[in-house]
Amino acid sequence: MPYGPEPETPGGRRQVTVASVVFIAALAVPYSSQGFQQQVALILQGSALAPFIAMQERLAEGRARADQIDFLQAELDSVVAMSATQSVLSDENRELRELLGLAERAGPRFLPATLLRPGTAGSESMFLVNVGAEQGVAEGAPVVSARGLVGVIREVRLQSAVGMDWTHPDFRASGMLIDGSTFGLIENVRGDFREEDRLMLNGTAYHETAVRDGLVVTSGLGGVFPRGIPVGRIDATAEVQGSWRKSYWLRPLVDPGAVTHVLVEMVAGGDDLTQVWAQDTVRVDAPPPPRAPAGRGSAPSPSRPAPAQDEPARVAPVRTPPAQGVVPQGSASPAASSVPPSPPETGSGATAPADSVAPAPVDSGGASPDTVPTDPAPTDSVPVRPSNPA
Amino acid sequence: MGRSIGTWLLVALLLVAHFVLHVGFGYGRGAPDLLTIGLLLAARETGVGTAALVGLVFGLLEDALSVLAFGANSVTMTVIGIAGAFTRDLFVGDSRLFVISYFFVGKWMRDLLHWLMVGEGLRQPFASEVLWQGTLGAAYAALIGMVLLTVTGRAGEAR
Repeated sequence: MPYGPEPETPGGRRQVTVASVVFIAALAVPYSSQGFQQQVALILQGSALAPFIAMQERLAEGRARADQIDFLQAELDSVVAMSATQSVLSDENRELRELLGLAERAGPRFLPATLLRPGTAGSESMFLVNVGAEQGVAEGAPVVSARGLVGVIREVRLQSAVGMDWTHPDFRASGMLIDGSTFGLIENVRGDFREEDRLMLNGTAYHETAVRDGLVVTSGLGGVFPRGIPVGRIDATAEVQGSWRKSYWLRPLVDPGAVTHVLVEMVAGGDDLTQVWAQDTVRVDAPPPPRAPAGRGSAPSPSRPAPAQDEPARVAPVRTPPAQGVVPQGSASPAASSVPPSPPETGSGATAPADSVAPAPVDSGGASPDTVPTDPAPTDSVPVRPSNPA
Repeated sequence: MGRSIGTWLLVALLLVAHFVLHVGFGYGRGAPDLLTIGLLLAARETGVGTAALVGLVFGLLEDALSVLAFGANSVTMTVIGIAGAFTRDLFVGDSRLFVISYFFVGKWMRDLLHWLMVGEGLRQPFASEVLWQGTLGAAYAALIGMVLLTVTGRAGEAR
C-alpha cells in the first residue's frame, strides 16, 4: 500500500472554514466602527454580563453599608462619650449654680475659688484654692460650699492658699444644733481606714439631748468660724461619759472629695451666717414616722416611750426660734437603740430609721423651700452608741 | 460523548466563575484567568472552527467590559482557540507535563497576543506586562488548570 496523505477527518474542512471565517470576523472587530463596538458592548453588558455587573453593584452597596455601619457606630460611640462627659458637666453646673446662689446671699465677703487636691502622699485632707492674699484671703478663713463647711485655710500665699478639710485630724470647729442648743466641739475622729473617718460633736452637756438628724452648725465661738455654717446632722450617740458629757456622731453634709468649687471667706470669724444657708440649702427633714416597738434595737414610739438604756427620758429643748425656712425639730423621745456609725450622708437628707445599719447618703442640700416639710412630727431621740470606733 | 458534555459543563462553569471573580467580586489579577483555561480545555475537545467560535465569544464578552481596546480580546481568544485546537493534531495524550505546559504556554501566548493587539497607546512595558505579569499569570493558570483536571478526574491519563 503506497504512502499518501492522511485521510481527513469528517467535517475537518468545514471546521477549518468556520475557523477562517471566525478569525476574519475577529480581526474585523477592532476595526469596526465605534458605534458598532459600543452597541455590541451594551448588548453584552445588558444580557450575559448583567448578573455579574449587578453582583458587583450589590457588593459595592454592601461595602458602602458596612462602612456606614462603622461610621454610625463611631457616631454612637461619640454620642455616648459626649453624654458621659455632659453628665459630669451637669453635676458641675448644678454645683456652680448652688454656689452662685450662695455667693449672692453671702455677699462680697466670700470669694469664689476652685479647689484642687494635690493627690500626693502626705497631702491627704489638704487642698489648694486659687485665691490668696492678693484677693484678701486670710489664714483661718472658712471654706464653704453650697452644702456647708468644707474646711479652713491654713496657709496663705499671694495667688493661692492651702487649706484642710474636715477630714484632717487637726480639724476643730465649735458647733451647736441649729436651734441653739447642745454646744460642743466638732472634730474628726480617725478610723482604722480613711473611709472610717467620722465627724463627731464632742463635749456636749449630758443633760441636753440632741435629736436624730438635727442640723449641726458652727457656733461662732472661738472666732474661727462664723456662726451658722452647716456641718452635719446628728447620726447617733457616740459616747456617754459618766453623767456629765456626751458626744454624737455626725453625718457630714459635705463630701470633701467631691467638692470642686468653693467660697472662701475673706475674714475669719465673721457674722452670723445662718440666714445664708437657711434659705434653700439647709433644711430639717421630717423625722421618720413613729414605729411600733419591734424588739431590741427598734425606735420607740413617742406615745409609748421606751426606757432608755442608761439615761432618763428627756426632750430636746428649743431655745431659739428656727431660722427662715428651717423647720424646728419635733420633740424628742428617749433614745433606745444602738446604731452603728454611718458614713457621710450624700443623699437627699431622707431620714433613716433609727435602727438602720445602712449607710446614709450625703445630704445634697439642694431642695427648694417648697419641698421642706413644715409639719414637724415627733422623732426619736438619738440612739446611744456605746463605743467609739476611734 | 459523556466526556464531551462534562467538558462543556466545566467550560460553562469556568466562564461563570471567571466573571463572578473578576467582575462580581472585582478581584482582578488576584483571580486566575479561568476564561482562558476554559477556552484551552474546550479547544482540546472540539474542532478548530468551534474552538475559534468559542474564542470569539469569550473575547467579545471580555471586550464588552473593555472600553478602549475593543476587539483585542476577540482576536486574541480566537487565535488561542484555533491554536489550542491544532495542538490536538500535534500532541497526543494528556500527560501531566503536557497539560501544565499546555496551560502555561496558552495563557502566556494569550497575554502576549493581547499585548500586541491592545495598541501602542494602551500598551504597558513588555517586561512588566508579558515577561513578569504574563509569566506569573501563566504559572497561575497552569496550576489552576492542573488542579481542575485532577479534581474532575480528567487527568486520569496523566503520567
